[in-house]
Amino acid sequence: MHHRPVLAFLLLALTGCASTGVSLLPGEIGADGKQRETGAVAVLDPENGADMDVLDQANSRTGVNKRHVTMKSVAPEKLNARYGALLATLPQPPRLFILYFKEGTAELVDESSALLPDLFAEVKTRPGVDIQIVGHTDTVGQEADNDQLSIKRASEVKVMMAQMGLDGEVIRATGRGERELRDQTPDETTSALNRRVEVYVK
Amino acid sequence: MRLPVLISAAVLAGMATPVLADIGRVKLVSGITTIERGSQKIAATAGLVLQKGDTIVTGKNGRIGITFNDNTRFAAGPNSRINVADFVFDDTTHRGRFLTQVDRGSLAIVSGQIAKSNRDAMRVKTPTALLGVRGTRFVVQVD
Repeated sequence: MHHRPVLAFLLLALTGCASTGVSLLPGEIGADGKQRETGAVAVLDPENGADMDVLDQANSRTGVNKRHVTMKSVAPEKLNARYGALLATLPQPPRLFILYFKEGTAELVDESSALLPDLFAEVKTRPGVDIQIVGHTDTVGQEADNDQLSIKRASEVKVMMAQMGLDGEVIRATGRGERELRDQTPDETTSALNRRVEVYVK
Repeated sequence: MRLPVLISAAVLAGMATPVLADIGRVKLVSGITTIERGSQKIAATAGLVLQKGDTIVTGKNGRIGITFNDNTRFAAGPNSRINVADFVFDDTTHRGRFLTQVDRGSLAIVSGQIAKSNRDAMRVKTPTALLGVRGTRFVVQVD
């Protein structure tokens, strides 16, 4: 028992007094009110990247000193007391708006036009705001063509938003092609639900 | 293959070509917080654009919140020194890699799309540990 302080001292001396603590928290509560899954953080062997240990329980903590890993659970209140101020510094999660277009046009459907005032209001509330516009297609056509089509659609929306008064400098237009379907259709299927543009206000 | 598409889309849009080195943006700052970029020292303010290689340095009351292009979010606490050593992210495929070096202080992370794309594509290094990030919300403290 009385060897432990000596061992701890030796470890500290060997590592130049640095020590690393990792605390895994439960997933966030999303905008939908649902708790996101708790993920995991692996402590990797710096030599070969293999897992030495994996922290995968919410409200647990590990101390790492080279090859010496100690894992234990912590009361959520204790983590809150220690890291509450830090966690409050995390920026808000991006807010998502999904826009749909009248078939074959660059014109928004009425339900989507109705979202714009909310979107513009959200932009105003966020300090250091930036906006990512992500185009998506349905599964009709080649994947590479759909990548280009989705970026083109996003760029058109960027122009539209800039004309409506948003600062083009903070808008990034990107496309995901047919990789992220909202409606899981087979290939070569038209889908109004999949042809969409997502706007993330960050 | 993707670069010409991006540039032509930007030209088409009649906007400035996006600066490809931009990796994220400062959202919240309090106290003294500096971004070191090469020999430059930039006072952090909301809206400041970060680049790969930037080092975040906070003073004894300093705090900073950052959102990256892949939706990863950072909060750094007081007396921290954190270097974004590597950040590569493809908006279309979501593939990328993200390496952060925490020399001292505290860093809260909510991981984003890079961590989801490949196992251990997002890593955090400290003086005593190498971490593989597999989601989502955690704190690294280096004392």
